[in-house]
Amino acid sequence: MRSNLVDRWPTYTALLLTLIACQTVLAADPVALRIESFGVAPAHAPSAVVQIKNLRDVPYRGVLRVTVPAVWQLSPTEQEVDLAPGQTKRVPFVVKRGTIAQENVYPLEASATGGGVTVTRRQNVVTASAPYFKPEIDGKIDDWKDAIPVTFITGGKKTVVHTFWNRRQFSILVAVEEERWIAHGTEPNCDAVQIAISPQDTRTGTSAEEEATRFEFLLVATGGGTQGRGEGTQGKCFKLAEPGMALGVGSKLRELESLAFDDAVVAVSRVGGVTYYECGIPFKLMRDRIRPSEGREFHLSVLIHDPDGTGLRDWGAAAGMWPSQRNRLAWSLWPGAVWGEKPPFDNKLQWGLCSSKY
Amino acid sequence: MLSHRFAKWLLVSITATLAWAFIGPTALCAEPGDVVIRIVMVEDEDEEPAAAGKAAAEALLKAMGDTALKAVLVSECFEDLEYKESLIEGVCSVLPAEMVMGGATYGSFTQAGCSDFDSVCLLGIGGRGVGVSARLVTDMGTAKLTFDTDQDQIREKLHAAGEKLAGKLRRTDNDKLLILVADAHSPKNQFLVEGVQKVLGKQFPITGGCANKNAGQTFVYFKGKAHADSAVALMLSGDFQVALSGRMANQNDTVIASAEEGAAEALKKLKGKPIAALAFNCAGRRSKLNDYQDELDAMRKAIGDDLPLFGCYCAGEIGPVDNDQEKSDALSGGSGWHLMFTLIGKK
Repeated sequence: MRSNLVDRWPTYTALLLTLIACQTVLAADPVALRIESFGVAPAHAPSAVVQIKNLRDVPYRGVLRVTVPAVWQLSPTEQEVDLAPGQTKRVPFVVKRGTIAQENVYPLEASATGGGVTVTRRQNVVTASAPYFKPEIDGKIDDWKDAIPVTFITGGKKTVVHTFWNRRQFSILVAVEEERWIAHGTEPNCDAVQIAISPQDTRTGTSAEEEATRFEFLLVATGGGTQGRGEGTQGKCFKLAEPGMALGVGSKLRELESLAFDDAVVAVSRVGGVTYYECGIPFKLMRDRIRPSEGREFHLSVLIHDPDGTGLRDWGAAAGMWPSQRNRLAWSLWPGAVWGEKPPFDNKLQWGLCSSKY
Repeated sequence: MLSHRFAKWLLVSITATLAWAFIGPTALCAEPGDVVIRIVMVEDEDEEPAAAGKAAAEALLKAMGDTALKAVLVSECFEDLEYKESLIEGVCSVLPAEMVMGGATYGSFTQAGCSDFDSVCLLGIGGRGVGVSARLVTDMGTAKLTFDTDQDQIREKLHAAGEKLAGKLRRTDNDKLLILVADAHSPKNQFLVEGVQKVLGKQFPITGGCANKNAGQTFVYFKGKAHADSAVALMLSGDFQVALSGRMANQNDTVIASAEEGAAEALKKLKGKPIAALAFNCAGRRSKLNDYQDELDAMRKAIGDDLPLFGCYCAGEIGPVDNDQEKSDALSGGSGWHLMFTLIGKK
């Protein structure tokens, strides 16, 4: 018996080495997957779009599947995918029958099987869409109840993003759960909400000379800091970037006052440990690039600055962007911000304009 | 003051003149028994809805020539009730309010192009060969109900509303097509159609669309007045033929391909020469297009560039439902993501 083992040792060794090699390959997934947010609620036949990227330097061929909640119907249920080395594709699966969850969280799973390897990605997908409505930007949040809440948690603290639109205004309410509220100008570092809006089919460049494709705004509280609904609702909006600006400009620290964007209406209020940033941005500014109409798809990304609490909260991280999608040029620096060790994620997260959440 | 008014009028007139280019070949003198259908569209970039409505109505009258109008179907997408009412008042300052009906939509399209902003499209119907009967049902009781939680109640109420609406219509032996415009967005619209079919039968040709469901924008129009939670039915009767098709799609390429297929299918089915096309289309389909014009061009491949085309973007469509998995024994139903295409033709 012993002799047999010794005799066969080279074979076992070879097998073992092969297994180790396989493990090494398996450890590095051949593809990366991410399910995009829905553009309309699942009851209205949205597409579950899966982004799939070939991470290897050889072509990839596989079958992509999406698993949805039990009562839903998907068409097709699987699709073949061919990817060149490094290539990324968006593969749509139509939700023919879906249901609406009030909390706007839908557990979905994407899997890709190719070359004997199955890669799986489970995500809590949301409907990221602005229903049609024009709220009053007044520090009272009662008229936001028919918005579709997009919730993410960072460091145990909740952020909820609500959006509305009509032909004249894009409206956003960001509810930031945080221990302490720091208004702009009261301390060296302040709380803020930074948002980027860009047309569909645009990308962020990788060099400072390339042009920005985004409209980027910074919302801060000014003065006051009074607790209570509708009180201390002063706020300010700064326009940090717009399409055509050299990306490198955003990497420089600029005085905020020169970037004040007074066409936007801002109200900031605080109720029970939550700071509400409410803003109405005139669509006139963006209309030539993002036409306000039902079903319009575009990109909206959000950063929350909570320097004395959770630090930087990035919707990109919560939405499951890949590590390779971090991009220092995707967001503008500004005085008073505290950034993390790694750059934020890119600002190209899917969002939509819809008619109604119902 | 006078010169200021004149300047405004002139501006609108120019807009209307442009719109007149949208009109198909005019039949200035109708022959006895003829069915005359004309379509005009006016876009307003000056926030002057009354002037736009007036200009559209005047353009329609001109397009109809000597043929008296019997019914006018409106598709408009001005924002907020104040503007919508002003638009309808403008239309009714030229045309008799009794014949003006329709709905708020997400936009319109004709042979000349597509509009998704402040615009109005009018479909004029006249001629000795066509009869019309129009009715309204109000207080359907479903505007505030949601399909997820109130499905049974919606079914019951819309069945009743549909039955009541169809029951009010003046019927003839020569009824050919019912056009429904309703505050009953998809998937509610299926129940309304089922209610109507209790009176008309499952094989009667029904087409139409559901009003814009944006908050504060959901209205149908009847006799020149705006109504919420309501539906309008327009029955066309006479010596003409109709052919219907329905296609569902929700991706750019399939939206375009299905538009051509749908129009071609209706053309193939039509017994006679087409005189007009009605296209109740889904605003969601439009949103999937890289270029709105592509879908219109696809329809044109089938029907040509000259046939008068009345198209509007809706929140639910009524016509032959395109669903291979759940075949229906009814000719028409209510659904979403559809292009419901109807051709009207004469032998």
